[in-house]
Amino acid sequence: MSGSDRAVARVHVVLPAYLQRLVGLPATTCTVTVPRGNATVGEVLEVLEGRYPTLRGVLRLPGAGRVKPHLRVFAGTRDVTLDGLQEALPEEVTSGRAELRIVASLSGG
Amino acid sequence: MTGVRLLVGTRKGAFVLEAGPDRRRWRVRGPLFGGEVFCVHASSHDPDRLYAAVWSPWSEVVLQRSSDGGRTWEVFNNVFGYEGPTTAHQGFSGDPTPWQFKRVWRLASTPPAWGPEVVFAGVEDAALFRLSEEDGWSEMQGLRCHPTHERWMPGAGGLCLHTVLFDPTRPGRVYAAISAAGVFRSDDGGHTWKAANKGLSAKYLPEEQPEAGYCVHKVAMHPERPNVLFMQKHYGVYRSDDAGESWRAIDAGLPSDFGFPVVVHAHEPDTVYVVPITSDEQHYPPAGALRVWRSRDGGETWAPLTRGLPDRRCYVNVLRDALATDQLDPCGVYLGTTGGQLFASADAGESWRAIASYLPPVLSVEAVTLP
Repeated sequence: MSGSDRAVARVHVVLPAYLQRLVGLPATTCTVTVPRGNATVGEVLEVLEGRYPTLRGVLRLPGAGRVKPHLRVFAGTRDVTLDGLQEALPEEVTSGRAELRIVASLSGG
Repeated sequence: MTGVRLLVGTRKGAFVLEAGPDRRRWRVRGPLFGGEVFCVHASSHDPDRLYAAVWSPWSEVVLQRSSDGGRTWEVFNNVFGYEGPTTAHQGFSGDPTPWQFKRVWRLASTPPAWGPEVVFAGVEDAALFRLSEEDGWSEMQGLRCHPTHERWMPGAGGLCLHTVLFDPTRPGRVYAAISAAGVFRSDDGGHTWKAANKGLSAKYLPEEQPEAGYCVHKVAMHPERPNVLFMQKHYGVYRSDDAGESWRAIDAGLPSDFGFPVVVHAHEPDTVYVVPITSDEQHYPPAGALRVWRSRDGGETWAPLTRGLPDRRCYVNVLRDALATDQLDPCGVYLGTTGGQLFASADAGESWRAIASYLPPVLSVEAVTLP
């Protein structure tokens, strides 16, 4: 691992399938690179929204401090939805061993 | 004219229907998007440029647009945020409730006479936004911060800004209608607003005629006579002849003064259509017979239009945006129900037939006349 690789975390993200159709994502999985010192859900969303601008306003509203009410966020199997967007992601996610999953709650019936 | 395109929003997606000028055979496309579609609107500058307001529990508001008449769609700016002071309206119990952005009810594009197109969005909790390429959606906060805002309250559908009307002869004059607050008029493009509710009555309020607090369900205007407005209110059909300065009731002769939509004939500014509904508790047509009522004299007298509409055991509702007219001659009239039927009349309401059935509950219908 080079010095620059150590400075960044490669986070594997899984997005809800409905988003792929709705906002035209190429896939439901992707890998996002964030600074290791700022490996948070908020930073991952920032990079995702930069890469896919149609996601802006879809996962969260500006200033809300959390994802929209019917979405949940799992770091591996741990629910981090209520931890806040600025909490550091666990090592198993920043090392790429576990995925960061954004899950649509079963509110469709 | 080459035909009509109907833009239909439902509880589960949007549908686009097209027919030639005889309006006999309809091609149906859809469902599109999947969520609740409160509005599909065609630009007043280009009938192939469409805007759709979609809502689902997960992503909440997603706006879609099309530049090819609805064949392909792309997501566009979804970021809404109130600007300026934090404000509170009344909850159902009168409790101060901070404004919270929930969904887009209405998308409306300015008339060509105003110059380049500007798209406005009426939202819940009630506010008006304006779209620009550089800044995205920005709130016209003068409306939400109107001195009466503390007494605005939600109707059953929420505190929604559902009607945005532009006076095509007077650039800058905009009407917004909010349930349950009333009608507001701006003469400077949406920056400052005055309440326009004089003459309305509200059986459900203790004061006889407060400045605001009215559950206005829909307001309609004929573009060639923009000073005359027609309103269907929660109890009451009204008319204004002075651009909203005053209103008078015109519901004598209707079987119920409750209902949701009101529209005006494309070529006869005094021909108005409403769909009476039994009451606020009983959201179905009186006696289970679905009738559109038409006045051809600006509300002095009314007559039911019955041919082709269900005349018994019909317990559907017709929501505020689910009645529309086209621009052909004779004028076409379209009606969507919460039972998923879409009825069309190609003769100004004389006769009707179902052009689609078993759709999800219909929330909105807009008729676009194709050049």
